[in-house]
Order: sequence, then C-alpha cells, then structure tokens
Amino acid sequence: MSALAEFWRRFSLNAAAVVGLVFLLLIVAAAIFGPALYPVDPYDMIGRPSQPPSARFPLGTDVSGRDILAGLIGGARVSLLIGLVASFGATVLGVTVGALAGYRGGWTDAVLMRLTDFFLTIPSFVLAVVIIAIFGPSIVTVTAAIAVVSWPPVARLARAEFMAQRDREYVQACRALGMSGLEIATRQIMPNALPPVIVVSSLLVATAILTESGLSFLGLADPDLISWGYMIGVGRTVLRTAWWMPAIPGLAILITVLCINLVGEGLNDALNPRLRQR
Amino acid sequence: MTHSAARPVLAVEDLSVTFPTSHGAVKAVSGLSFTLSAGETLAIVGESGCGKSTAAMSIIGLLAMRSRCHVSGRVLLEGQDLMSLSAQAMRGVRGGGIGMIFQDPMMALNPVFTIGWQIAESLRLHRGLSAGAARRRAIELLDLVGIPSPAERYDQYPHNLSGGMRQRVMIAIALACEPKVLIADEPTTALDVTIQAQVLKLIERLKTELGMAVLLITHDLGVVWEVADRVAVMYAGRKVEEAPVTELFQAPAHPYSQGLLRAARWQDDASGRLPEIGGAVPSPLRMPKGCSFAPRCHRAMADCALAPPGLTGGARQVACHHPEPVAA
Repeated sequence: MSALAEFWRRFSLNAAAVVGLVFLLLIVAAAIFGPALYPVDPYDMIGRPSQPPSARFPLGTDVSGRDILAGLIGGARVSLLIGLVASFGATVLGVTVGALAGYRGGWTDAVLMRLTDFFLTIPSFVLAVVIIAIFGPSIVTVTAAIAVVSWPPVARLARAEFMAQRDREYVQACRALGMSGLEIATRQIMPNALPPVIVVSSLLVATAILTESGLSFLGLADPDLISWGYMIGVGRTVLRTAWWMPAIPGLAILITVLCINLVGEGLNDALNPRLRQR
Repeated sequence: MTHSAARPVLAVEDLSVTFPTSHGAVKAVSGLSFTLSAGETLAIVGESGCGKSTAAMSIIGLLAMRSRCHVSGRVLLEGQDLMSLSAQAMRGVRGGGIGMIFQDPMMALNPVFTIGWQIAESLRLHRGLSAGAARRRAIELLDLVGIPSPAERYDQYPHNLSGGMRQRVMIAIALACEPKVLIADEPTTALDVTIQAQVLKLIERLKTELGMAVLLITHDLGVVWEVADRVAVMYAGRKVEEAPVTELFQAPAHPYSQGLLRAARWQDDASGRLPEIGGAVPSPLRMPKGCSFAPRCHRAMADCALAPPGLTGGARQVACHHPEPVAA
C-alpha cells in the first residue's frame, strides 16, 4: 500500500492535476447520477423550440424543443463512454502490437512497425470517417473506428519500453529461472513498461472525446444517440440567434478535455521514472 | 580442497561458441571441457572478454536465445545432454536443475515486485506450489540465506534492501528449487569487500548444507582462494590451466597463470611496481595460428607460434608447449 500512498503524494504535488481530477469526478458523477437527479428524457420534445434558459428549462431548449440540460447529462454518458472504451481498446491493441514488436525484435518488429507507420501516415480523422462510412454509423462502429485510428502512438511507446526492458539483467535472470517468453513479457516486463503507457492512454480519452464530437458534428455518429458533438451539430444552424445552444455542449467538451489533460499531466508526474527524484 | 572422485554432476565436453560477425566468425569459447562434482566449487578465472561468462551462459542455453551464435559440444547434467533438450525441457532445467546468480543484484531483481513474490514465483513455476505454500517456503529460504526477520522482509521491494541483502535474495531465488548446480557469475563484484566475504561464506555454507556443486565465474583471485576447490584459468576463449586451488596458487604452470598471480600479489613485490603482463589480448578476429598467449609470453619459443598447445591430462592440466616445471 505504500506504493499507492507514494503515487498519491507525487500526484497531489501537481495542484492543477488535483483540480482537474475533482472536476472530472464531478462530470463522471453527473453522467452516472444525473438522469436520476434530473429525470427529464433528453429525447422527448417537451417545450417550445429554441427557448433561452429559464426556470423550467435551466439551459433552454434546442431547435426541436428538447431540454438542453437533459441532453448535456445524457450526452456526458455517451461521450465519456465512447472516450473510455475507445481509448481502452486503442491501449490494448497498441500495447499488444508494441510489446510483440519490442520484445521479439527482428522481422516481427519490422513488419509490425511498418504497419504502425502506415496507420500513422493516414490522417486519423479521415480514416475514422472512411471506416464509419463503410460499416455504418452506430455507437459500436464509432467506438471501434476511434480505437483503430488511435492505437499507433501507444504501440510505438510500448515498443520503446519493451526494447529498453528486454535486455535488462532481471529479464536475463528470469530466463535463467526457466520462464517462457510469454511469461516474461506479460508478467515481468509489462508492469515495468505500463506507467508511461497509462499516461498516454489517459490523454487518448480526451482525443477520443474530441474525435467523437467531430464525427457527431458532421452527422457521422449514431443518429439515435445524443452526444455533445451531436448537440453542437444541431445548434450550429441557429448560432446567430441562439448562441448558447452550441456553446453549452462546446463548453462541456472543453472542460472535460482540459480536466483529462490535467489529470494526464499529474499521472505523468506520479508515474514517470525520470521525474522520481522530485 | 580435495578433488573428489565422485561421478560428476555437471560435465562440459568440448564446448565451443562462435559468433558470426560482419568481419568473420569470432570464436568466444573454444574446446572448453571440465567436470564438476557434488559439493565441489570450480572457479573459472580470466580477464574480461576471455569467454568465461559466455561459457556459463551457453551451459544453461541462454546464449542462443537472442544472439545468432553457434554453440557446439556437450553439456551433461547428471548424464543428460542439455544441448539435445527441447526449449520447454530446457526451461525446466533452468532454475530447476541449475540455478544462476548474477553480478549486479540491483539489476537482476524486478523493481516492481516484492522480493518474496519473486522467490515464490520460481516455486510456483517449477514446483507448482500453491500461493500459501510458496509463501511459507519463500520465508524459509529468506531465513536460510541469512536475512533477518524474513516474514517482514517478504513484502519489501528490491529498493528497500542493501546490495548485500539483494544478493542474498538472488541466491534464495536461485536455490528455491534446490538445484544440483549453482552458477555464480561474478557474484561479489558489485559488493563492498566486507559484504563480499559474507556472501562468499553464505555460498560456501549452502554448498555444504545442500550438497550442491558451484561453478564460480570470477576475475578476482582473492575470491578464488577463499572458496574454490579447483581453478580453471581461461585465456582468449581457451582453458589454459586447471589445477586444485593450492597447487595453482603455489606453483602455476602456465606463464599466463603466473602473470595473473604476480599481478595479484604485487604488494608483496619489493619494487612496489605492478608487474603487468606486457601486450594485450589478441583480437578474436586475428587469433595467432599457434598458442594465443605466445605474443605476450616471456617463455615463448619458435614452436609456440606454429600450433596451439594441447591440454595435458589428469587433475593438473596445462596447455603450454613449455610449461614452468612443477615440483611433483
């Protein structure tokens, strides 16, 4: 448990990261408990369209007369879920590719890294658009598309970590104890290689939320789900008459992404072995 | 000190290791043979790059895994040829039949796991012990290698321990599955002199208690004198002399062994100057045709440059055309 306490001590040295964490937890809590505390159906047309904020509709209504606050809460669920699942998928894929390339080396490394380079050269947003255009827009394809375009940086990082670790003497000692390559890679090297990967994949969550918003804004996301990007897309037509309509979900995206980046920075301070001396 | 005539636990026969390089094949070890009996310590001494660590690594089959090298010869552990074993059977031998400890105990322990976990891991792997049984056995092992309050130490991380303690943990890991042979590759080089003595005494004690054979790889002649029964001197990939430790220290037969001993005892020298061996080790790419030590040897004659000398037989072996006469 002392390792955990030490981790928290280093994390809490970064005040901005702690502030980011607090706000992020509030946003997550809103996504989880919000619908219970504010039981309005975000899909239900319950008022006159395009109302400014009022006592009945705290954040107003959108062009179809749906409650924006309810949409914001519902959208938090969708945006955060897609962000988390997509970056988790990208991390698993990236670490698998990177670990295999870094640990095995040789032609395995060459083939996997050329594949990674191939994905890195294609603009990720365009590739995501193409994938969704092929498989059709649904929450599953959007999440998968974001994961598929996000894994290459994770793979490169994991590869570098595994290459640095595989020639360390403790790995040699593990071989001298008769461990197989798979055991060494997954049970011995992985825990040593993960800290920087965790930092990068925490930042991937922010990128994934932005990508999802961009896709929804273009109308490429699941048409049956309200996400923040979708709300901006709907509101942009009335930007001059009802500026708050796209601004409110935009602010939500801004704050969430900022908080995730701050937390990522804090994780970097807490986990980066090169900063351990502080 | 006595050379036991018991059946050898480990027999290495004509072991050669060749690395292909862009400049041609480099022979790191050539024609190395030795035997090791239970309860005996054989020290392999030689300077850096003479092939002693390469030989140790090839015995447990760790060399071929990453480098593209060619290993030939036979390694017999209790009569079983390790070279012919499958990769999986070889994994069972490593840590099971042969344990190994390394030079730097800081680097050889995984920094993210507790020391107890790392000892227990080996037990679960080779012995299939349950978590509870592995923990109890690991605590016993920590106690065996002389770590005070082993139950509390179990949950500590490598960075919580001193260098000497870490080397004791390494020894506990190597001993976890009661190997027949312990290979110690420079086990005390990274430690303070006072800790060195403790670790050497520990290895000595465990060897007697557990009836292991110890293969000690070192360049430190003081260490050899302390713990070895027999010594094999290596030079440029070949064994040039092998003898019981007292005989080698009193009357080295090979000019290279003589040079090493003179350099090690230089403080006794009246002149106060370090008696060095002139010249340098020949490049492995341009080995002399004859004796590899001939260019540096003060006893070299014309025939030394023609053919490499063979080893004489028996308990006292030397590979030299003109060895120092040894009083019988």
